[in-house]
Amino acid sequence: MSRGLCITRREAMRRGLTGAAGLLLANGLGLLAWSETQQLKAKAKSVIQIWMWGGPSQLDTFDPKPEAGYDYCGPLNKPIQTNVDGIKIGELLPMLAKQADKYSIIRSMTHGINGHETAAYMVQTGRKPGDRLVYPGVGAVVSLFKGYDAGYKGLIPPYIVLTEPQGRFSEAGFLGNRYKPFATGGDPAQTRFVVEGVVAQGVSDEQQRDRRELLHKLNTFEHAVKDDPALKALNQSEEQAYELILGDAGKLFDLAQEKDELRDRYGRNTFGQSCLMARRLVEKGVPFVTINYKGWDTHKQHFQIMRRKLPEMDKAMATLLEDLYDRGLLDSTIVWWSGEFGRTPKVQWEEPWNGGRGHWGNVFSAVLAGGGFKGGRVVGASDAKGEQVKERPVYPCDLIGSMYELLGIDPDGNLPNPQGMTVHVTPTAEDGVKMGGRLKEIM
Amino acid sequence: MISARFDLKHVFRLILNSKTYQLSSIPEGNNPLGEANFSYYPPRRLEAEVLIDAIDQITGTTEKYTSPIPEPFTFIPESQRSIELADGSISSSFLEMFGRPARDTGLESERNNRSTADQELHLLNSTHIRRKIEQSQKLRELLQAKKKPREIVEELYLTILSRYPTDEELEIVREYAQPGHEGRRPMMDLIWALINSAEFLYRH
Repeated sequence: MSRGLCITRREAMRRGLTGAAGLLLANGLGLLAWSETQQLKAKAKSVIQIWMWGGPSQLDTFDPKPEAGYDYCGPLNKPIQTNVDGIKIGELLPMLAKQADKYSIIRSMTHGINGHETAAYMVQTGRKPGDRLVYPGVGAVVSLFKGYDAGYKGLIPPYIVLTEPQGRFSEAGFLGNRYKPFATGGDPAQTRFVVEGVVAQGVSDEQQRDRRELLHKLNTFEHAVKDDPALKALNQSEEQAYELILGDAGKLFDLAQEKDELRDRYGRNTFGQSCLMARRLVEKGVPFVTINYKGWDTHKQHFQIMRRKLPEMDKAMATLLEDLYDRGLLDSTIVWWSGEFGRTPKVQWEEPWNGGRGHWGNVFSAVLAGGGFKGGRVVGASDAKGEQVKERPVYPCDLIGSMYELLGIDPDGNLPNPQGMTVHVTPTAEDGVKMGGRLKEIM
Repeated sequence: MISARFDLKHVFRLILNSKTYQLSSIPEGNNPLGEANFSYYPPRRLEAEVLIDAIDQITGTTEKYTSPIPEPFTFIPESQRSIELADGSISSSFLEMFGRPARDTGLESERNNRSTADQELHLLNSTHIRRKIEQSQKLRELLQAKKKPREIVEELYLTILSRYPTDEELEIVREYAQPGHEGRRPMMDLIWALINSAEFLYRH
């Protein structure tokens, strides 16, 4: 019985519950509000990740420091003007210099880690390793939110790697096998791009069909038990597989369908043709393509390798940006160029390196283009010698969070976790990860 | 078992002769309660490790597993079967693709035996499986033994499916091996078809 200010326990419980329910409802509405408005703003549908395996040198690519002297620049001390006033990039990238209005350079990426695997994990997941969980990389998260679970109906898997996967340091983590990438294997620069499982070397289409018929005829057990759900699933998987092997979807990997002139513009090498392949995949609606570009771990012979590889990268990447732009795909495709770290600004002239650069996680560069990112800008700066961050540090989780925002993925949303823990898509302040803030300057 | 003085063969005989074990996988009629009450043996897909071990046994090949622990690298002896792999981190892309869990959580549900399109792609068309079949010493010897074709087909069926082929199946194979498909091709395709058949992939 209530008496003045005194309330019964029943009343208190009821008020408490409705209050909590009200909060929950409000929270729910809040989330809905975010995702609806953000979905409308989300321009990007796909991501092409150019992964510079080994760590590219920032001084020789997008953050030149000509005043630092020979000890730092070596022979590459004449950076070139781009088609955007005030931005200069390395002299071995003339074609990219003409496309600078399409991409933005982040010169103050940092995480401070100098080990390949740890740094690769950090850049691709935004988090430090050693936690209780193995976190998924960007590709797996995009595959989760924009792949089969989100209504993606293509036959080509939603997360493709050209051509070899990097393995445990850039994969699906606790999300599980469903979100692992499909690595094509093979080499797109060869006459026949042998995509693992889709194209079998030495087996013609006719042979494929013949033996498939034999399989069907001999599959007596399956005929007897055809209603079993597990066997129905097997049947369905087999049909999907053959659509890829014999059907139009598999023909997507046939680069002979592109004009020779375009293939030459990309460059008839593995990286060039991989960029062309990535464009084809994105055109077909694949949400995430990673091109694993090897060979940037230049401890020795650094300048010789730069002279050999940078023109190759320049040609392919510039053509990719131009091709995407010409086809109207650049607005809906994020192109993300990055490695796991940079390279030591002070050249190691001494033995045993004799002119090489080591690992440098203190400051390095990344490039973002398309998908809603503004082009022609520079975010952050490194100091006069390219050794430390001078202003606006950008941590991997900031870059990743910005990409998620443009893709329409809520960076503070939850990832499904097998142990039922609450795991956010990108780390929040509670996770104790250093953050510099999302890349609002270029969004 | 105690009365048989712990004779394992006795236990095997008991289990293998039981009606339960010998239940067919082919359900009679469409009674919806049949599945729940185990009126027939529900077909289950072979687990990843068991599948690769079976394919290895048929082709006489082995897998190469390595572990980064203890440092620098430990190579697992090739005679060891995949089912004996001690740790969830010692794996291969085949095992991961076919649902072997990384043992991150210790939950049984982490193992996923559902078939997916990329598993099928692998079995139907990958260089991994193709190489095993085509370069198998054991199968080559089987095919080259001076026997009549019918006996060779029977040997293959016994090796892969542990049974003799039916007359119908023999007829299908004979038709397939007509001119137009020369040399080893029809036998290689037969091996391929049997390895890809539901009878091989599913426990029944």
